[in-house]
Amino acid sequence: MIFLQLFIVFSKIGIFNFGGGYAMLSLIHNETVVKHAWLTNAEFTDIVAISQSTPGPIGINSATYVGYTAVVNEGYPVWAGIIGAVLASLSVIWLPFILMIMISRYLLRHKDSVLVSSIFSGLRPAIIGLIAAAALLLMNSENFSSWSESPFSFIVSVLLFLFAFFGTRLYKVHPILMILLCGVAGLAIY
Amino acid sequence: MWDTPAWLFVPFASPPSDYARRTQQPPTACQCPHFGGTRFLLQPYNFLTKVLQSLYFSPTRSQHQPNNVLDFFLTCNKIGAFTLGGGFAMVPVMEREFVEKKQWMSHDEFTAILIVAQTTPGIFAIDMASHIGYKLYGVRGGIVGALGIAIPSIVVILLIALFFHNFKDNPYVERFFRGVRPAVVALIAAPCFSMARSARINRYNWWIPVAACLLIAAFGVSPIWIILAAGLVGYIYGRYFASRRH
Repeated sequence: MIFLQLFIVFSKIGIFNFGGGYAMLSLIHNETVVKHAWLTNAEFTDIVAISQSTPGPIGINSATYVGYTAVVNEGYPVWAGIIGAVLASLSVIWLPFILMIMISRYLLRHKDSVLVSSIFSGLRPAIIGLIAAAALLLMNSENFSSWSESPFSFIVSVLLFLFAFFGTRLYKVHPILMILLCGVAGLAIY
Repeated sequence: MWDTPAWLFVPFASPPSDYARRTQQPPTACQCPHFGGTRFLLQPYNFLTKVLQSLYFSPTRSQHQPNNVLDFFLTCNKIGAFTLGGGFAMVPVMEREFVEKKQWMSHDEFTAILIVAQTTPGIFAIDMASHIGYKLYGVRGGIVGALGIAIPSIVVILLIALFFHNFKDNPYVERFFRGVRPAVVALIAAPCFSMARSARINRYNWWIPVAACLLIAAFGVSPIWIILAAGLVGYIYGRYFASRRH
C-alpha cells in the first residue's frame, strides 16, 4: 500500500530534518530513490530543480512533487497522484507541528523565568552568526556565476545583490517586490 | 450559554490571545471593540455594532492587536505564494509583514521565534508560521499558519506536475532566475542587521556572531551545535554570574 508507506516515510523525514531544506533533500533522496526506488535519479534531479525555482519552502515543494511522482510511477491514475502529493506534504508537517506547539506553550508560559531568558540571551547573538553563515555559504558560483567563467554575469549579479540589499535595508522596498524586480532585471539584461 | 465567550458568536473574530493579554493595551472606547461580560447580548444594537466594528473597521483597532484569523491566513498565503528561494528567504518577508507592517510582535519576540524554529526539526518556514500563529491565536492559529504557508506551494507544484512539466527549460524562466538568485542571497543577509539591534550587540559581545559565522561557514560545524553551545553558555552566565546583580 503506497499511501501508507508514503505517510510513514515522510513523517520520518519531517521529524529527523534538522538542517533546513537542503539537508532534507538528501534525506528524501535516500528514502525514495535509494531505499524504496519510487523514482529514478534523473527524476529526482528534475524535482530538486523545480522545487528550487518555485515559490515556497523547498522541503514542502519537493515532498509534494515526490509524492505525486511516486504514486503515478506505481501505476495509479492522476487523481491518486494528487492525493499522494497532498498526503506526502502533510505528513512532513504534522509531527514537527505538534512538537512546535508543545515548545511554544512551554516557552510562552515560562518566558519571564530566569532559565528561559538567560538561554535566549546567549542564543540571540549566535543566531545572527548563523544567518550570516547561511548567506555566506550561498555566495557561490551557482548563484553569482564566476569571474573566470563570465565576468559580465558576475558583475551583474554583484550589482543586483547590492541593489537588493540596500533597497530592502535603506529604502524599505518590500522583499517580495524586490525579488520580482530583480527577476525582471534578469530578463532584461541577459 | 451565558458563559459562552462572545467571540464564538462572531465569524473570524479572535479570542483574546495570549499576546493581546500580555501587552495590556488599555482599549479606548471607539478604537477597540471589547467583548467583556454578557450584557451586550441584551442590547442587540450594541452587539451588532461591535460585531460590525470588529469585522470591517479592523484598522482602527489597537495597533498591536491582530485582527482576525482570516487576515493572518491570507498574509501567510501571500508569503508562501510569492517568496522564491526557500525557507530562509521567508525570514525578511515575515519580519516585514508581522513586525514592521502589522506590528503583531516585537523584534525581540521575532528573534526568539526564529531561534526556536531553527532548533526544532521540521521545515523552517512552517515551524515559524505555526509558532507565530500559536502565539497570536492559540492552537487554531498554529494550524492556520502552517497550512497558510504550505497550501500555495502544494497548489503550485501540483499545477506544474500536471500541466507544465518542462517549464524550467524555458529560456525566459532561466533568465528570470539568473536575476533572482543574487537578490535572494541579499534578502537572507539583510535580517542580520535588524537583529543585531534587537540582540543588543555591543563591544563586549560582537565576537559571538563572528565566531558562530566562522565556525559554520569556514569549519563546517553544524548549526545545531552552535545553538546548543550558545544556549548552554547563556544559561550558565545567567544562572551563576548575572543573577547576583538583582
